[in-house]
Amino acid sequence: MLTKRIIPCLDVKDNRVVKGVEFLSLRDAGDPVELAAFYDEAGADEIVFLDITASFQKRKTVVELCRRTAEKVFIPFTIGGGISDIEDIKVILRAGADKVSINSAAVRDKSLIKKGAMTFGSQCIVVAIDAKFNGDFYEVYIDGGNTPTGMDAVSWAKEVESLGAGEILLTSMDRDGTKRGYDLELLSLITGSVNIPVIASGGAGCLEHLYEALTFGGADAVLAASIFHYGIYTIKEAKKYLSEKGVPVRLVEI
Amino acid sequence: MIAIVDYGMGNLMSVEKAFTYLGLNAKIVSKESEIKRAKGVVLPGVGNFGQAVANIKSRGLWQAIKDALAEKPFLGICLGMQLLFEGSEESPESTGFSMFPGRFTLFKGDIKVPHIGWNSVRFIKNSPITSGLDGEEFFYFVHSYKLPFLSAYTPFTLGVSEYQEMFIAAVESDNVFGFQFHPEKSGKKGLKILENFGRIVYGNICGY
Repeated sequence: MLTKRIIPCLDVKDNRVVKGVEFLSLRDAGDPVELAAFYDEAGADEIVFLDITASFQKRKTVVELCRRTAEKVFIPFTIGGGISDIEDIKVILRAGADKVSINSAAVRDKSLIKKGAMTFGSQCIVVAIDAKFNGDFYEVYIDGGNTPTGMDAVSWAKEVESLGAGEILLTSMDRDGTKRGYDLELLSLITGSVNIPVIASGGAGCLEHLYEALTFGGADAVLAASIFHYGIYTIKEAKKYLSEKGVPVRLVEI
Repeated sequence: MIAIVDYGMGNLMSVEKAFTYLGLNAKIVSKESEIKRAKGVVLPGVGNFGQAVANIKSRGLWQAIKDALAEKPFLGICLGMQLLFEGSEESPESTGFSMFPGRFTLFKGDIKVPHIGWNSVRFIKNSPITSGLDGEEFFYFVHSYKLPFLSAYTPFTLGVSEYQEMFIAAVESDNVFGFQFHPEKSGKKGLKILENFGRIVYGNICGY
């Protein structure tokens, strides 16, 4: 049976993990590669790196991150953050990443999704959608949540699917960082509208939240950062919890 | 040396890195002479069936791969496994290596396609390539076409998986092994398969 996925997300800047990570067992918990290898070992199903490096060196540092990760991590990994054109996608996939996550650039140039999917296959094109409820509908934001687009997240989700996106990484800006749980209404709206996998992001504070997103929300995968990084729960605990509640997950013996 | 055949279809680096991580000598190659020299051959690949056949032929690698299938430890991964069969609905005009009988068909029905993610595989017989693995394990899949499992006609079936219907996830015939999933992306269990392949190539697996 196809399982639901648990995906730790690492925020990376200049090849260092940005948000503090508290694993005493790691030699260098600030090294994204070491942390990703730790999560591979711990039973994570995939890894997402959100690279927020802003310098002109960006492409070089991302390639370096991919290369080093591919040497030590043997589960799929995705790179997101600042991907702006087809050349970025090519360079990142060639350096060993399995998927790229495109956000603002996909809104600015929709053909990028289509070109990416045609050239490299839908399976490696993830479109990230940051959405916030504006009192009327869930509105798509870009530029790291700074720029409202006026676009409805539901119709944008349908459009990215038709353009060839392989997955949607859906972040609720209203819930991100709150630990109040994923936005199940937003999630249900999107998962009910598209036929590609949707990864829920933003708001996980406890294991029940993961369960809700994967069942009531209809998500295929859950992305989480702080609940794993701060050692509140291990991946193994999360999977055991979900499995006991009847959610199909890849159980790992450690 | 284990030759990982580069024929312009998908990223081969993760396969190479996995062998390197395991301390096994493997190299991405694109020349006929390198395939001929290799002790074992890996045919990876992601993408379109017909394009893959065309690429292999235009690069002059067809015969060398066919020879390797007859005489050396051989591992087909994902599209590289599909190419060992007769054909695929994806490119009806193209013919694969026809090492195994059967044609791949698109997943249909009320399911998401491609089939992406971790799915369980049940191994229905013992093999040196799955030595050390349990009878059922999880592996990472990314594919849109599958070979339906029809037990009576498929003695080469090593493992099966299910996504709306039963399909063939692993095949074996003497020196040739094929996996629909990606061992190089399936964590420790996937690495075990590559390690076993290395042992088969370098000839130090007990009783094989």
